[in-house]
Amino acid sequence: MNSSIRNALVPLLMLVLVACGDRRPVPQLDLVQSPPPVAAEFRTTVEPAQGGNSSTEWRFWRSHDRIERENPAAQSGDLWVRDGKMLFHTRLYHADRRGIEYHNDDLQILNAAPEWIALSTLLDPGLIGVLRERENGWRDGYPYRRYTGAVEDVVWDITVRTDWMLPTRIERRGADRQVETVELLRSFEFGRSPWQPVDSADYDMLDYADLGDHERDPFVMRIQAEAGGGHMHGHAH
Amino acid sequence: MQLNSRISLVVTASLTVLGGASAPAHADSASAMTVPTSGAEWFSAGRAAIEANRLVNRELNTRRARNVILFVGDGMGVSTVTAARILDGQQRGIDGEWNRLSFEKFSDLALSVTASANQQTSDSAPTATAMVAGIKTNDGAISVDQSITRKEFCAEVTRAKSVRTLLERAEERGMSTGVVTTARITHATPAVNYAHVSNRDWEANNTIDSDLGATVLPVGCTKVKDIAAQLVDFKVGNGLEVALGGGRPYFEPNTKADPEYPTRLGRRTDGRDLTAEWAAKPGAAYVWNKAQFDAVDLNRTRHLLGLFEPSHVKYEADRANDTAGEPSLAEMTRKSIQLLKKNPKGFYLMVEGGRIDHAHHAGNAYRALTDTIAMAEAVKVAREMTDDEDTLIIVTADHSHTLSIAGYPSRGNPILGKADTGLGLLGVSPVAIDSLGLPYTTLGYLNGPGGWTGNGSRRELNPATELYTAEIPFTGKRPDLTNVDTTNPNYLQESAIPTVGAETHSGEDVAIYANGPKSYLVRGTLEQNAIYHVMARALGL
Ligand SMILES: [Zn+2]
Repeated sequence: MNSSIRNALVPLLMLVLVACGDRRPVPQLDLVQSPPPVAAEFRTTVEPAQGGNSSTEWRFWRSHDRIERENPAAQSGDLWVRDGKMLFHTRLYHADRRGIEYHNDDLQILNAAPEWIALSTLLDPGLIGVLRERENGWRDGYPYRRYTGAVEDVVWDITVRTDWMLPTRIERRGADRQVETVELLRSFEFGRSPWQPVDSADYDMLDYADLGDHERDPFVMRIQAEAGGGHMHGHAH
Repeated sequence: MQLNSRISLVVTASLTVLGGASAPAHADSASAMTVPTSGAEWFSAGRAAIEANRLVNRELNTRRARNVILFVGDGMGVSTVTAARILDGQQRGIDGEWNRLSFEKFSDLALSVTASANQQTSDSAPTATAMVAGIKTNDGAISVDQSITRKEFCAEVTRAKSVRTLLERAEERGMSTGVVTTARITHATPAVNYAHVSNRDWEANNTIDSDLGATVLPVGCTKVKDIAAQLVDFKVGNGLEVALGGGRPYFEPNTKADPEYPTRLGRRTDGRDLTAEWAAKPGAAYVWNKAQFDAVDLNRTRHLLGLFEPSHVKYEADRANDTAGEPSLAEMTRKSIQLLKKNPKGFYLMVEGGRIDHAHHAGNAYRALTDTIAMAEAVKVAREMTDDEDTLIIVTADHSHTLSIAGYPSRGNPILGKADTGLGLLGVSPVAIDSLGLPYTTLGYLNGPGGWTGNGSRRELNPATELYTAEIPFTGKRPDLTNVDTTNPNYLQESAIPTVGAETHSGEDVAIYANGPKSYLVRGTLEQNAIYHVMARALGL
């Protein structure tokens, strides 16, 4: 085939592919496999029943053994590193250039030792397993599956981009009629995002186990007060 | 027949006493005898205990000690010892209340006042300094006196305000010395033995540099050395013979990957590889996992450094899950004494159960108690390997925690369970109910992260969404524990006051248990720094 004919055919082929996209098989969502490395940006919106919405945008990087999340507005983030069978979590406070490290045993005590697959896909395999698949297909050139259902008074509506194992939308309606929505704004192959995680390599890291012995450390006193009564270590779900 | 066997056991205990045992009768009888079940048996047991004490007092061990071992249960207050004693007994299928931990069988006991020079309730730095240097000092101070500021960067000023430690005096005399801990070896309690620095947080050089920032040191001042460097550069006598604990990255450059967790790097920004420097000394060995530790050749090793984790060594409850394997506190104690005993001039050893404190801070009684039991096992090993005639063993805590044992649970009620009423039939006792109609646990904390999160006013961060939940209004109710398994190792006991980052230390006195030469000096209510003076007197220093 000469090159000029090939040049003319390629756009034509692509048109055909796009037109026939709906008929291509949609990959299953297999929450056992290792998800591909990605970078993404999400928006979380909370609509309480009494009104007064709030929203925040956050970034997400995922590679094989490392997951980072960053909230640029709050100047905070989380780093999860899998090293052999051990899991390390660091809560990052970028404005202070400090972090609090949680080791496996700390996470167990806090009942906050999540499955790697849940951290890396932002999806709870147990939850997806009990919801009903309502539709699947192709949208904007990627495959998706949508799951809905109610679990313990909470109504879920979750759409997942299955090839990247990444949610494009999670909607959660609680019994209190509060609606929380997580929307995927942009996603990139890993390393191709226009923004990169803040480098925390030289932050002053404090062990969670050492918090109790830093009773006069102004940073520790401040974040304890800011937690407002919640665990300083949030639960994964 | 049952009664006969009990009587014969009481007689056996009494005979042991008459044979000159130096420990109280209960100590020996408790392990052999079941709990008394009649007034007469209680009476006999009580009388036997006093008979044993009478003989102990008649035979004061006034000899000079060749060896001194100081065990510090970090945060091991009296309520912790009581609860651990009960848990240990219940785990072994014997009466927990009648049970005694190894060190509770020691001959002498006193209370220790833990307030530091500037704190009513203290942290581990001044309290540990009190025990090993004989003075009271301020918060955060590592074997420096109270005239120093918390962040004194000048090495010369620090030197002028430093106080000599028992370990240094022992080294000067040619004795062998060692420090063993389940915390980082650079943590406050072990550090006070070999380091002098105003700020306990300066464990590696990077934190000194970040605190110093652009500040220029005064003329004539050099920068103070971090705690890890002070350990490896320690020059008194022939240096420490044993240092075992956690904290590898504090000894390694920030360009070097951790051997057990390669994603983690060292913390040092001065390029020094202190583990390599240690290992390069004559007769020195460095190990970082259980297999290497087990393989140490005690005939050829004169100085042993073991760092088994990047940070603190695992809790005893989690130790079996470690990637590279770690020795227990008892195993570290055994190896240390084997090495230190080679010196005919004797030895000084500090052994710290460092993580009792951390579990309490996390509001998790299970790990605090199981680490206390692990330290009691280490004390047992130490006593078996030494002679009461020439080795003074002291077991104490640096400070207490807010753990309390409450309600009116029946004897034998699971110590980690819910308090019962003792009013049931056929051995089934209903749980006790509070004024809200809810069950509650026997163990609880005055403050900390546990329990109150069930229904109190709170906001919780959800990292998946990066948002705090809206405030959940306070309903006036505690969490309903009816269907909660409070004996689960990860259960966090309820706290009355929410301090979510960590439960705090508490300021009441802690106990000092002593056995061996000059242990009779441990009596009454002592200021904590008197512990040093007992040890120094026993050694004749
Ligand atoms: Zn503490």
